[in-house]
Amino acid sequence: MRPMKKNHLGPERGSAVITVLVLAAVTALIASSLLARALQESRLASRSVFQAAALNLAEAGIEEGLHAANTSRLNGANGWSLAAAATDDFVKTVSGFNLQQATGSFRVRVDQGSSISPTIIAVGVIEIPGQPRIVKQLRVTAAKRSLWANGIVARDKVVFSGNVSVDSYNSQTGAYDASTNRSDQATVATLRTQSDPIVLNSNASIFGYVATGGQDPTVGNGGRIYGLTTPSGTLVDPMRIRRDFSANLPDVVPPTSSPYALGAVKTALTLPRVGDVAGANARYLYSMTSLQLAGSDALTVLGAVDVVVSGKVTTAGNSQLTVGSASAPTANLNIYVADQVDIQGNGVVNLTNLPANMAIWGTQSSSGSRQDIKIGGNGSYVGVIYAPNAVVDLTAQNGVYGAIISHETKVAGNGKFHYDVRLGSVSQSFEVSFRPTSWSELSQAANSGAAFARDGREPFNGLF
Amino acid sequence: MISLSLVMLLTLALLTSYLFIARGDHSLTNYTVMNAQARSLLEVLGADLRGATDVTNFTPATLSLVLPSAPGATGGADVVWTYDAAAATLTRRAGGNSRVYARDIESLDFSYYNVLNTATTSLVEVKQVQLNLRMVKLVASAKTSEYVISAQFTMRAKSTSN
Repeated sequence: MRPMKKNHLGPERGSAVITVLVLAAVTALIASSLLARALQESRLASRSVFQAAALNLAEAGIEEGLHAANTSRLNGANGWSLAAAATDDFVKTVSGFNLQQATGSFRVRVDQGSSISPTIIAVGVIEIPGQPRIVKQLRVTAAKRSLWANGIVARDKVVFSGNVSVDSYNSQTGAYDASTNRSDQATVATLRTQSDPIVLNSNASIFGYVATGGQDPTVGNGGRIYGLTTPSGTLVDPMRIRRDFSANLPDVVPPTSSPYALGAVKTALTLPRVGDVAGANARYLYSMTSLQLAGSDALTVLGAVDVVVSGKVTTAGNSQLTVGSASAPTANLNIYVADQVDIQGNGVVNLTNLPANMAIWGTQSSSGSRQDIKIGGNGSYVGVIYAPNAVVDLTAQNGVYGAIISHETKVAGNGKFHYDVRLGSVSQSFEVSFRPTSWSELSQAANSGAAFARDGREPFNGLF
Repeated sequence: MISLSLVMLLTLALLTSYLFIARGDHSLTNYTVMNAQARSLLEVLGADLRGATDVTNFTPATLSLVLPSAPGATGGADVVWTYDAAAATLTRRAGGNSRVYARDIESLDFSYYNVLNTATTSLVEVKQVQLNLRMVKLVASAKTSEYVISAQFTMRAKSTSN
């Protein structure tokens, strides 16, 4: 029998294995720690991406609400329903957005949807399997865009020559007064993107703002663009110049309902005539083949009158268009004309003193030739002109009070233009678009009473 | 003797590996920290910019905003974002409170654009803001860096045109 071989390693037997196992365990621990951290980082990055996606969905909801309000589509046919116990508040939910690792949806509520100042609240929701949902809620208030939010707007050039001045006032306060009713809120704007969008020659001055489609205005010696806060001695205040102006100036269509036909009007006339009946919109509608006044003839308007003229509109000598009287302080006149307008002589006498009560609508289409509108004479023009396809020439000796929208505007001589800031709140029937007046993210706890507390009403129930 | 030598060699190899792993771990920690800072910074800055009703001052290193006090309010509190190149920090100051949202910033600049997406220096027409920054942390002699280029945040509530 062979004797057993003695193990010379004795108590060291297996120590290498134990050491390797310990080191392997430590390595595994470190590796798992790294993996866990990487996983956590990946998850955080993923949630960060979905946070942005939730915000995008909420903004899509806002767009959906604004679009519906703009196009009168807050109805069942477009997926909207009345909120519970509401008469003018609408809700809508759109779901099923496949984001691969998550699904998305948005819910929208439009409060006072048929008003001129709706509020749109939207929430974007992201559902990630095995993780808490991500929600972002936005609240936007909107108001009708005002056609008359600026003083002078043109598609092309605006040229001031001579000692022309531009400023603003508020007709709600009263008549323009250089001492007590004058401000620096008139904006002279143009969509023109090429050079010389707005030209101020000689001593022309704008007490307000200038906005162009990208180029700087051209200002001659002595020309000024300034405001109340402009440092003394500064002729052109860069804080008063914008180069990002944009606007939509659609062609205007005259009323098409049955008018009273008056033919060519050349003699004195008062409208509405006795016995005439107002239309469904409570306005009297007349058509003329031309309106050409001379001598001392006057067209007097004592009610709410619309006149569609297919030919020229001219006044000369001591003739005039009179709007309103002591007994008819709310009278107002809209003249729709595609042909030439030449207001001279006594011009337009707006006894209401409110520019909103006198309007010339240039109906020449953008595809036609340019229309000419001249406002001169020894009087003033208190009113507005909307003629995006016309060249408007302002030389009225006693100034223009109101707002002008044209293809091109020229103001010459000692002409003075006074923008009525009250026009900024006057809406026109053919304006349909809303603009956001506030934009807020609601991120504080619902029902917390905090200023930016989330809105938990329908259709946001159960989200917060 | 042979096994002892093998263990020593293995231990040496493992220690070397650990050094590399530790350095990598440190780098990963740095990236995690910088990523977290960037995410938090962009989240808060984005919310500020989207809700701002006005810009009262801006430079490549400083941005002063007016945030509404309540939904629909036009006035409110001033919020100022300031890059301190000496301290390498980006700080948000609102009211009397300041908070550092990013540290170890090597370079930072705010870029400003108008509504036509053209770079602008005009307060009245600024409508969009973009942030570029580079954060750098050291691991031994090596750098770990995070380069952040934000989206062009549009100031939805700031009116630039009527």
